[in-house]
Amino acid sequence: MRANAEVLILEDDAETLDELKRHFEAKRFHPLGARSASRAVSVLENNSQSTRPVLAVVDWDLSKAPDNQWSSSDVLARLARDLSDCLVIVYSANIDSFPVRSEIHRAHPRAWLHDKRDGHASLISRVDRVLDQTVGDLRVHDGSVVIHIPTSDEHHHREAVRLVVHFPDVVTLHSDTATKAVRRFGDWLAKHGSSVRVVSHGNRKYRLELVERPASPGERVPSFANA
Amino acid sequence: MVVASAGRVRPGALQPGTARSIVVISDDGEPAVALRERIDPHFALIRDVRPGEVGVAIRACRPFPWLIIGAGAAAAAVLRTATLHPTLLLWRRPVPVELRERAIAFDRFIELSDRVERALAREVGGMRLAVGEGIVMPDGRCVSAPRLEALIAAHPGGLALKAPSRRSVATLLGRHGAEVRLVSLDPATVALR
Repeated sequence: MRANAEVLILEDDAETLDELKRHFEAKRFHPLGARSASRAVSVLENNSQSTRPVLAVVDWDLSKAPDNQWSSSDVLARLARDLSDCLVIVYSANIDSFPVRSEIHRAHPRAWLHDKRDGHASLISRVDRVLDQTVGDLRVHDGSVVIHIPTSDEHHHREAVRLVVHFPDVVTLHSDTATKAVRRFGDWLAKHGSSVRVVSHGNRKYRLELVERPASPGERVPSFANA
Repeated sequence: MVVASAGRVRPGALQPGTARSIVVISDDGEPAVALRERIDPHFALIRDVRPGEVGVAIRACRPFPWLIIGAGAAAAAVLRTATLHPTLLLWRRPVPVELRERAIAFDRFIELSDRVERALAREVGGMRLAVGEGIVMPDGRCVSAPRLEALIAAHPGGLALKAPSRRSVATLLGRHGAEVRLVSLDPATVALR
């Protein structure tokens, strides 16, 4: 199954929002755009069963938003609570300020920070580096496929993409279906003799790990090490 | 326009989670921001906490914080945690009387950050902290063992551990071929040797 990964974009400037959406569409992600925090929260709430963005790009300063009922801090807190595996990039022109950094990380302790003064090209470049993640002999392409570089074989599943873009972090899965998909991905890596393997932390938590000696193609390796 | 219906949620720093947590208590967030610049973010979650939030923040760390950093008077929740759990405490001098037996004192930020960096990177008897949570054991397996994580943080020092926890840590060390064992420093305190 091919499921394009979603990206949440919270940007109060309409022109910038369109630019970012176009960029993600060109990369075959499914962008979920919002010009205000309340709109972003409602996008997350109203599609909570089907929407699990792999990335959120959040403008910290929403002074141009059509409404200010909610703040970017509210969106970040919600992302931290409901979508803890979603990568978050927060950009601000005041990113060097201690109080701003503190507030952002209080709202979302795992958010990545980006300086808005470096311009949109810099932001897009940063996002691309995050999403086109290369781990060992694996690379993510188009936000929906993991490629085993030596063989060019593809693995199409969003949980596999999620594991690669989150490397080396632990990813928590939310269903048996997702767990099975990750196990299949682990088998696929072993079958390809990949330099990467899936490690289980138990309780549906998984991460990728680089291995010192990749398995020979077809060699059966224990992809799931757990106590 | 669709309007968000639910109420506001707690900041992420106060939300429950099992990630290895460092609770940093301050009035202005400055120590937490500075520490975040120094440590590998994949290895620990920094919870930037105000004095009035300490109880909520500590309860959010499941099962207990790996490390608590503070200054000045200790909140009741810190004292309770220090009594019940093997959480390492790093406290800016002067350390309050009630924490003197438990906390490691520091004067300068660089002392603090060096100690945290070393604790996160420490290898003891072939064991090291895994990314996020858990321990990579000498046999390559990854186990969830918060009390053992605390002992690795405190090494070569020790921490208070109750008898059932000592037994489970000792069993884990043996099962995974760790090259260290648990030794008693005094009736209440154990360390890895």
